[in-house]
Amino acid sequence: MASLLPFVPVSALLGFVLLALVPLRLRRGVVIGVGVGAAIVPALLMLPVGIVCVGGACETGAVVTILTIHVGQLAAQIAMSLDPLSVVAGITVAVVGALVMIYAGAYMSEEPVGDLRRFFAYMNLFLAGMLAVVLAADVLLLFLGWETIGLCSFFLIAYYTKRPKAVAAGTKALVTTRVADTMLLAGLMLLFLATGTTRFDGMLAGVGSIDAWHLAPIAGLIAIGALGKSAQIPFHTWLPSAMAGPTPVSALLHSATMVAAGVILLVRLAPLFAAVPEISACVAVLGLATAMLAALAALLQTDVKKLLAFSTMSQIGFMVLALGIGAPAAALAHFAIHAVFKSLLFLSAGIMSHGAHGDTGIEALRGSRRRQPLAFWTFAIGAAALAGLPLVTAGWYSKEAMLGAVLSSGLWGVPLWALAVAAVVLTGTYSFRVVFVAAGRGPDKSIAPWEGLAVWAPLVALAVLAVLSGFLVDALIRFDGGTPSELPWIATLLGAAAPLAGVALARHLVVYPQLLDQLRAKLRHRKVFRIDSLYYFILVRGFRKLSQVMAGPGGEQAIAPVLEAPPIDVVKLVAGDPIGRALVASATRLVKAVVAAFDPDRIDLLWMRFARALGRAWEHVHRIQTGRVRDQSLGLALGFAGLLLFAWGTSWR
Amino acid sequence: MTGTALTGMMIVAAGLFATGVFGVLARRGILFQLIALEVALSGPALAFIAAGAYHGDAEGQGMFVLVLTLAAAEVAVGLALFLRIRRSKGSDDSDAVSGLKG
Amino acid sequence: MALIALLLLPMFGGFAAYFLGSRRDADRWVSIASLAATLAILIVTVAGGDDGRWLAKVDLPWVPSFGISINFALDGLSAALIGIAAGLGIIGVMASWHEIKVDSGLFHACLCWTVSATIGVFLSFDLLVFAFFWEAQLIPSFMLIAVWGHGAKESAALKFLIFNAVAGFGLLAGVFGLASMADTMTFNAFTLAELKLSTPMQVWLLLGFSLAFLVKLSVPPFHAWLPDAHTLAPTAGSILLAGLLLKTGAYGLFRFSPMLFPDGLLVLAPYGIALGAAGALYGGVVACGQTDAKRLVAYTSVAHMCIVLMGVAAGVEYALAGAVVEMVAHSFSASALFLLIGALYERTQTRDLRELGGLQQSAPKFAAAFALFCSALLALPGTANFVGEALVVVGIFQVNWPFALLALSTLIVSVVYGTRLLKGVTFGAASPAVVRDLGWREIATVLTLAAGTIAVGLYPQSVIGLVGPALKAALVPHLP
Repeated sequence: MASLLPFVPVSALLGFVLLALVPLRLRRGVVIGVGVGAAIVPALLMLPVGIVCVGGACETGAVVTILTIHVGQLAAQIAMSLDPLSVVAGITVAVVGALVMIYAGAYMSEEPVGDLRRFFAYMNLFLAGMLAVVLAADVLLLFLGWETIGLCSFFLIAYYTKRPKAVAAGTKALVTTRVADTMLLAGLMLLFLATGTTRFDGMLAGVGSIDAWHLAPIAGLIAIGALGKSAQIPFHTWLPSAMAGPTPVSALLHSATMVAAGVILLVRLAPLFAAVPEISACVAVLGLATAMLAALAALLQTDVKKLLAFSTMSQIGFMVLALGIGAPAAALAHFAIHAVFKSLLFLSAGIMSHGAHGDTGIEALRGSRRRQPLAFWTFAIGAAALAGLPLVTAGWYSKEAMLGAVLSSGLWGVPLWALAVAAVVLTGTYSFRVVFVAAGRGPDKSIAPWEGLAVWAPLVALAVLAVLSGFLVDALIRFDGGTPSELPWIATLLGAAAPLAGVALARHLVVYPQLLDQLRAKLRHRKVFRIDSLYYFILVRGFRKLSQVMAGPGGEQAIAPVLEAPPIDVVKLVAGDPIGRALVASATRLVKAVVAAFDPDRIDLLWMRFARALGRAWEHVHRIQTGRVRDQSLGLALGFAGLLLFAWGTSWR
Repeated sequence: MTGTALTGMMIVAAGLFATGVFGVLARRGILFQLIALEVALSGPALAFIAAGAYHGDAEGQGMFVLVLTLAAAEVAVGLALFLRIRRSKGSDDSDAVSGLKG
Repeated sequence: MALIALLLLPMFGGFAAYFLGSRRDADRWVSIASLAATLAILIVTVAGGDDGRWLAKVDLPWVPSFGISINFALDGLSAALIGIAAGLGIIGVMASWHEIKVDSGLFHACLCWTVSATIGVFLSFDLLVFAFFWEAQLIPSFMLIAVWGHGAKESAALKFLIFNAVAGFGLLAGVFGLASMADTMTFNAFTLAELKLSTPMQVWLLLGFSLAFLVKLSVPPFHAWLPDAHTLAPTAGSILLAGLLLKTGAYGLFRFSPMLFPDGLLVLAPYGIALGAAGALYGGVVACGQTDAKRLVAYTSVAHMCIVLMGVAAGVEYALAGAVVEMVAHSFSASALFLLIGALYERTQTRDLRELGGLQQSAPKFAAAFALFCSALLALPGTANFVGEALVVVGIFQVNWPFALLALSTLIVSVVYGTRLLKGVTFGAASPAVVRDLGWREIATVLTLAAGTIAVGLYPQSVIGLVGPALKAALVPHLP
């Protein structure tokens, strides 16, 4: 069964090749059929692999070699691994991907056929890339998939190519992640040079022999790469604006898969980070900070897609926190559960906002319970899982596993745990705020609601998974080689109370909406925010600006359409980001100065000045050429006399 | 032939050459410049003869014959050019043919 | 003898094209036929080649009294580059099918002669003959720009010629200087490589050689000829310039500097890496500021050739392999982009990124091709460009890690110019004119180049294995 593994991404890749590279005209039905079909096959292929794996084939950690490249003495292998990580992540990605694509087949069916084809081509390529990332047993295949999903996300976010906002958001995502990817590449290259192999098993085995001075930069660079892809602080800015893409894109890329790639990488390289506790601590702190601040930012959103984007950042922050304190198995379990409920949330939110005439504002969803009961209830189930309502949702189990790991992680476990629980409260608040608003009374009429199996089947399937998979969490963690942690009863109780407190708070906020406005106003007017940690304060200020920028009318700046042609688009894109404003403003000025200095190319101008100087010299020199025979004879005579003198002088000793 | 005689001969030869060169540079008439060239050529020719006589070697006279032949050839070409220039420019002023002016 | 056929076939093809003229496209077909025959002979020679260092060798005396001989040798490196030369020649003919209307016979003759002279460069191991072909390739390519170019074509062509001809004197001085060190009169590179020269002498001679190579490679500050020449040349001219002529500079560095001046290279290599790193960033940043699509691609050529320079200067196995792959990759991707932009210019009469756009809707095949090659431009893994750049950087990490980080930062710049080109052409509102989508001839050429890019990107062994022996010979001996 292990030999089946390389074929998992292949069918999605074939779908891409068929749709993108074959210069034939295809009909709409064929495009949708190929696009959706190619995305379903990986899930079907993954299932037997998973069954075999659970049956015990994964214990040995089989590796399937696909290709070997010889450079000198080195044999670089491209290979896929059959181990718990790749199987869990592979099944998650393949199944969620298949369900989202089925939904996309219905969601996108009104698009022009050319755009539809482009959409499905890139979605399939994305899926293939993501599967390559999770299945890879070596850095080559991992990075291939890693960059492929980065580029695909650019194309998919910028799917509406005529909207400058979408295009700018895509570029922003690509450039931001590329900066991180470059760091990752540097880290992987250093790791490769230090261990002499491209295979993960060899690399991790060699970690022990690298001295600390080399290991720290390697781990740091790789961590930066992973955090960049996962939209963690300080690379978080691209994710909220990336919601400019169509809903299935957000559901697949920016909830369950692409942003989780960083988590997968960190899980894969967990032994490396275990060897460098300082870097792990930084990772944990960044993860926790992202979890809290993104949760706070999500609370202030007025747009449901932006809210879900921030919630994704926050949830990934929890996973990164768990990774930082050394609990990769819990992080992986939460990755799988999160993928399920987050894509469910995006898909049902997409249907609800369709019912609200395509408006993605939270207020516009008011009345969805009447208009689209199924969408509303699936959304509510997803929100419950996101909030982690105790006992009945999968989210609770995986979150408890992570929180337990945090609590039992030594000296700093308790404060970290307390902050994480605070973030859980916020999670409950922001997720149920949407639910309560949508349950409220609103216009009953809906525009031509979607019907049919392709829309409802993925929703129902995901909703069932979001509830039932909670009972699998302990098994998942054991399967991944971790041990579910036993918590003191008081911690369990507090962990269970936190989401309920969040829900109560949400109810309160919905009943008294002015509270939220006051909170927003408070944050806007720089009044005291009841957190005394300076570090936290600075970041909140940054985040407040970010959330203002993203939420309010001033938010247009963030990815404003560029009217006059800028020297470099990126600068405009990254500009408007509150946290990086100072940095970016100086970068803007710098780059403008640099580009202005280079355009026109200064070196070219120098050469041309040299050429003109030669021309001017000729102006003067040509006067001695009179063309008269007498003058030329004089020159001849003088020249010969000079030569004779020279000869005489050199031969005369 | 003594060394002093050779030195005298050489001085005469140098004087002949210098005269010729001066003629080429000073005169503008093409015919006179040609004549001055002949004078200038006779200087080295004399030097060859003198040196041949001093060393008792016949090659000096051989070189003289070569110089004579060269001079004849040069005069032939030069006169032809002279006629050509007179016909095209209508003058025998060498400054009139300044097509190589930069 | 096969090697001489490689040289002569395109040359006679050029004469035939000139005399046949453009009636019933005879010149085009005869050029394609001669170049295809060259390719076929190359493939047969490589397939039936010897196992050792050289696949084939020819050594005929030409002017024995001066020690000049027709000394040709073919190994994997030259075979790969000759294959690219002939292949891109064919693609150049196909790309200019509708573009060239005036003096079509002479155009195709110049095209074939450029290919022929370039093949001569790749084959020659007699340094005087090498220098002869080095200068000879300038003339037909000068004609290509000056006669069939756009805009201020004459001055661009003149700039191209002056830069390269002046730099050629450096090569000539180096060749004569090196030959004067030998006891017997010979220009044979193999014989001259045996000389034991002092290190300073090697440095000076290598500087002379490098001047010619660096100018041809268009490493800043010697790159000024390239943007003008690339931008104003006809499509086929741009393809040949980017795909062949730049590669002769890289080839010269790769082949002759470690072979003839190993100690001198060891002295100059750090400066080479520094120059390459600075130049790659410079080229990338300038490319970001361009509004002319073709000029943008021209500046990316500067950046990519600097990466090749870094690879050769680093002199370790990974870096050298990366340099070769980067050369091949650049030949594919830059040619394809020039071809696409040329086709677009033919349809819209503009190359201005601010005016272009909307290809995604009006011409989806065009847009797909652009997307593919812009991805290659920004070094997406899976394309040959990534393999080249990554291998070069790995090699430089072994030698000098700060420069490796600098080299890596070009990846960030590349994503900026890559997306800039892509967005400018394919995104946004529709372009000024209704754009006809790619025709079958264009699709065929673009697909060929795409297949090459992806095949080398996914299986770089195909190139690295071929150039293995050449690569070992180019290792700088005293490095790790």
